[in-house]
Amino acid sequence: MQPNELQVFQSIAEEYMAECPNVNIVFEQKPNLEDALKAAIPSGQGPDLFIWAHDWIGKFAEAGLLEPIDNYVTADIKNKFAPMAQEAMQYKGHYYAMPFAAETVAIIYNKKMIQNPPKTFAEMKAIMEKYNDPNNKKYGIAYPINSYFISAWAQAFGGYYFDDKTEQPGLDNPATIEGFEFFFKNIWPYMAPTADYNTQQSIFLEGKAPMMVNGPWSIASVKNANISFGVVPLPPITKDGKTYWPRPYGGVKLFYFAKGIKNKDAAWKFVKWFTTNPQVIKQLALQLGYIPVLPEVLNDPDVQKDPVIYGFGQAVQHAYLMPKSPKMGPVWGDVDGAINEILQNPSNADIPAILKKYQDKAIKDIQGG
Amino acid sequence: MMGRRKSEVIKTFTLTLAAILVMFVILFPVYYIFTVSISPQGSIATTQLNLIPKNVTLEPYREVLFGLAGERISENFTGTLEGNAVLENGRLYVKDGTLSGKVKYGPFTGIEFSVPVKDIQFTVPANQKTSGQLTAKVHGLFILTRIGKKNTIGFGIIRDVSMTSGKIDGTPVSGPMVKYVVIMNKGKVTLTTIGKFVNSVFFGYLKNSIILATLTVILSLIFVIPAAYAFSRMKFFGREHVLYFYLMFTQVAGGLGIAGLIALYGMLVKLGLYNKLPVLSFIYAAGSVPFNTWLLKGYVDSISPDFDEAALVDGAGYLQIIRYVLLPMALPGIATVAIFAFIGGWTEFILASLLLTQSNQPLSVWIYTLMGGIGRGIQWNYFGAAALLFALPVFVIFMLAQNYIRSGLTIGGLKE
Amino acid sequence: MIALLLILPGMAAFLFFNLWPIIYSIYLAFTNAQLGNFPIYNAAQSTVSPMHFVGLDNFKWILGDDKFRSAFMWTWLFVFTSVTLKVLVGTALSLLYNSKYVKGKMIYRSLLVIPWALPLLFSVTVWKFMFDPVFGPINIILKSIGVSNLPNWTNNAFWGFIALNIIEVWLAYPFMMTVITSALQSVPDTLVEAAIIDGANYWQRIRHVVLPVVGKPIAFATILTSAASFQYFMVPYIYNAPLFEDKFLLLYGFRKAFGASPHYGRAAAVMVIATLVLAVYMYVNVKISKLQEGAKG
Repeated sequence: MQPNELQVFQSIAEEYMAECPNVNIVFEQKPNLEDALKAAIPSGQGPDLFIWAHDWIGKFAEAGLLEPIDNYVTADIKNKFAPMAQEAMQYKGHYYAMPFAAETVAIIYNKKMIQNPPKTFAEMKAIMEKYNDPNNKKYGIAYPINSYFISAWAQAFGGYYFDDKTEQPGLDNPATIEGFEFFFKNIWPYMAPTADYNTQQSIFLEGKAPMMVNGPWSIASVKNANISFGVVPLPPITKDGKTYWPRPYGGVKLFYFAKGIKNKDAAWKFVKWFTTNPQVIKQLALQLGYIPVLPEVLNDPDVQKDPVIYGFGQAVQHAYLMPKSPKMGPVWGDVDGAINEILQNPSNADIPAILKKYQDKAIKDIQGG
Repeated sequence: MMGRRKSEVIKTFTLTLAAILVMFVILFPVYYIFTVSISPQGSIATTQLNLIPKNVTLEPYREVLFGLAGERISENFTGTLEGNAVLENGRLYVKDGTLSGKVKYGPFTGIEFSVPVKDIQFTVPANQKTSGQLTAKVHGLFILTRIGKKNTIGFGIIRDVSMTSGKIDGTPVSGPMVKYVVIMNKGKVTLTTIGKFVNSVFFGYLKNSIILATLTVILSLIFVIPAAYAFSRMKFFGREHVLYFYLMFTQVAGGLGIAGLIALYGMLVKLGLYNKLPVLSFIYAAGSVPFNTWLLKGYVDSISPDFDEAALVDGAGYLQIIRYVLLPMALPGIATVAIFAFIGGWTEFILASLLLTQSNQPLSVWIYTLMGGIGRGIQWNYFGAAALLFALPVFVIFMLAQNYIRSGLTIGGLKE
Repeated sequence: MIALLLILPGMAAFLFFNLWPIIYSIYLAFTNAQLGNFPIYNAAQSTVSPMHFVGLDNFKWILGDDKFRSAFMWTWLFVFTSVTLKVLVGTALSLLYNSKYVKGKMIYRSLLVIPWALPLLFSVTVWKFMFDPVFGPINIILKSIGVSNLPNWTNNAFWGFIALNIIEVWLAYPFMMTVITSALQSVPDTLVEAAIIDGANYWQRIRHVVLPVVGKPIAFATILTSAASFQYFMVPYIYNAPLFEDKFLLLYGFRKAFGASPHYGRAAAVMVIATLVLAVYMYVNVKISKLQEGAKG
C-alpha cells in the first residue's frame, strides 16, 4: 500500500478507535506480504487481519492460513454487497473475508484531445487512427501489455484464460484465440511497440496519446500531470450485428481473517463496520478512487459526480472476477509466455499455434508437470 | 626536466578527464534517478529525454525527510480552549470556539495546533446556570494522520480531553470532554524542527538502520579477524576441511528459500528472540562469516610471515602479533570486510522484514515496502529521493573507510 | 588449540543461526511439502496427503526435465560471458581509479559505489527503461548516432541476453572494484619503485609486481561473482520473465516448482542441486588457484 492509501486507512481507524476506546488497531506494512504471512501465521505471530486482492483466497484457504467467518456472515450482511464482491469473499463454501473495493482497467482519456469519449469500438479505432503518428512519436493509445491488461480483449468474445469451475485453462478456445487476434490486429498497430508499463504510462502522461488503458491506481499520476481526464469502460465491439463487451479481469480488495486470529470478535466488529458503513466506503472512493462494492454508495450523487469512480464503476460491471483457484497461478505465467512469443513478431505471429502450445503447457504446469 | 614535467601534466589531465567521463557513463542511470527525484511528476519513464531537467523541485526530498508518510502522530498535548459556552445541568456546552495546543518533547515544543471547534460538551460537577465567554486550560490526546495544504490539519482527532481550570463568566469549571473531536481539513498545525525530526518516518528508520549496520560491522570483525589469522598463519587439524565447508556456504542467503525462512522464523520465536534488533545483527554477522573469513584470509595471506617471525623473536604472543603487527598491515583488508559487513547490514531486507515489527525496521524494509506498488502506482519522484537518500550513508561510509585503506601501511600502498 | 579458539566465535555464530534452516531446507527437498501440507497441514480442505518423505522423487522430477538441462547450459554461458566482463571491467576500473594521475580519486570511487546500495528491484526497473526499445535512452542515443536497425532489447532473446550482461556488470562492478582496490593498496611501494628503477614499464610492473600480490583476492572475487551469475534469478525475472524463463537455471527451476500449487519440496530440490553444482565449481577453482593455502614466506 502506498503512503497516501495508508493515511486514509489510518484516519478511518483513528475514528473507530476514538469511538471505541478499548480497541487498538495497528497497521503494519510488509514488503513481501505473502512470505511474511506464510512464516508468521504457523508460528502464531500472524496478524489478525490482512488486506489484499481476492485472488489469494484460494491458495491461502487451501494452505490452511485463513480463519472462516461463516457464523458472522449472515445473509443480510452478505446481500449488502454487489454480486461480484459476494462471489469474491468466499471459497468452496466458506467465508474468509469482507470486501471493500473493486478495481479493473478502463480507458482514461485526455479531455483536451478527445471531447467525445468512444462509446463503441469503431469510435475508439477512429480516434486511434486519427492520432497515431509514430514518426512524430505520437500514438493512438497507451497500453501496457501483460496477461492482466490484455484479458479484456482475450475474453471479449466468450473466451477465457481459466475457468474457475472446471479449473481448466482456455487458451486454445476459439473465442480466446479470436480475442487475441483482435487485439493484435486492431490495437497493437496503434501503440508504441513496447510492453513496458512505465513507458506506456508516460506516453499518456506526456500528452503523446489521447487514451490510456489502466486502473484506478494510476489516477494519482494522471492528476499529478495536470491532465483533464475522463474515464469510460472499454467500448463494445459490434460484429455481425452482435455486441461484444470486452471483459477485463477485475479484482476485489478484501479484509482477510488470518488463522490464529487472537481477537476475532473485535476484529469482526471493526471489519463489519468498515465494509458496510457508507460513510467509510465513500471516503475511500472520493479520496483514493476505490470503486465501492456497496451499491448504495455507488448510487450516491457525490460519488456519481466523480468521473473516476463513475467511469470505473461502469467498467466493473463488465469485469470478470479473477479466478480464485490456486491453479490459476501458472496460467498467468503461461499467458505472459504466449504474449512474449507473439511479440517476437506481432504482425505475423501464428497466434492459434502459439496459444495451443501454451495451453498444453498450462495443462502440464497445473498438473505439476 | 621540463619535458618530463610536461608529459606528467598531460598524463594527469587526460587520465583525470577519462576517469570523470567513464564515471558519468557508468553512473548515468543514477543521474537519471536523480533527475526523476527532483521532478514534480511522479513517473519514471519519459518520452523526452532531458539531460538537464526543466522543472525542478526539492519537494520529494522534503516529503521523504519530514513527511508523515502514512504514519500517525499520537501525542499528549496541553492547551487552551476559548469560546462561547453555556453551562447548565452539570454540562458545559461550548457552542463555538478555538482549541489550541502544544505537544512537547522534553523541554522543547514539537507541535503546535489550533482548531476551530463547534458543539462540544464537558461534564462538569457544577450546578450553576450561566453563559458567556469561556477560557480554559485543557489537555488530552492529539492524533494526526494527515497534514493538508498550507499546514491545515488534513485529518486529526482530539480525544480524551480534560479541562483543568476553566472559567466561564467568573464561574470555575473543570471536567472531561464528552466524546471526541474530528478535524478534517480545518485548523492549523505546525511542527517545529524538533517535532519534524522526532516524528519523521525517515529518521526513525534511519536510526534503526544505523544501529543494525554498525552492530553488524562490529560483530563481523570480532568473528572474522581472529579466524582469518588462524586460517592464514596456522596449521591445525581440520583446517582445510573447515575452509571448504565455509566455501560452500559463502552464499548462504541464496540457500534460504521460503523453507529456510520459515525454519529460522520458527526457531527464533521459540527462543524468544523475535523482534530484537541486535539479534538481526548477529544473524547477518554470522551468515557472512564464511565469506568474510575467506576474504580477509586472502588479504592476510599477502602479508609476509617474516614480520610475524620478527615479532615472535622479539617475544610477542599471538594476540600481540595480531594487534601490533598484522592489524596495521591488514587494514585495507579489514576495512574491506567492514565495508561488506556494513553494506550487508544496511541493504538486507528479507530477514529484517520478517523478523522485526514495523517500529524496529530499518530503512531497507521501508524502501521495499514502497516498491510494493510497482507496475501499479508508485510516486517515482518520492521513491527516487528515498532511494538516493538511502544510498547516501553508504557513500559517506565508503569515503571514510578509504582513509583506512590508504593510510594503514607502514610500507605504503600504490600511493593514493 | 589456540587456533580452535580463534575460529570458534565465528563458527559457533554461523552454525547457531544457519545450521537448522539449512538442514531443514535440505530435508524439505526429500519430502512432498507443498501448498496444503506445508507450513500447515490443512486436513479439512487439502487435496494432498500430509507431508512425508519421498526420497529422490523431487530430484528425479527436475533432472528429468530436458528444459532444465538446457537451462543449465545457458546459465553456464551466461556465467562465462558475464564473469569475463565483470573481471575485465572491474580490474580496468580499479587500475584507472588507482592511478596516481587521476585527481579526486576518493570522490569518484565513493560515487561509483552507489549502485551497490540501491535496491535491486529499483535498479533493474530503471535499467529496463534504459533499454526500452522505443523511448529508452540507449536506443535514443543509438538512433542519434545513426544506427538504423535499433535492437529490441526487451523482447529479443539475443539482445536481451546482452542487456542482462550489461546490467550484471553494472550491478557487480562495485563489489569487484572494492576488492581489487583494497588489494592494489596492499602492494608495497618499495617493490614498485624497485621495479621502476630496474626499468620495468607499466605493464611489466603490473605483471610481475602487482599481480602476485593482488592475485588471490581477485581470484576469490572471481569465483564468488561467478556463483552470483550462476544463481541469477531476480534480475531476469524482473526484466522479462517469459523471455528468459528457460535460460536461467534457478529461474526455470523455481517457476516449475511453484507452478501449480507451490511445491516447496521441489523448490528445495532445485536449490540443493544448484548448491551442489556450485560447491563443486568453487572447490575446483579454489584448488586450481591454491587459494586454500596460507601465507607464504
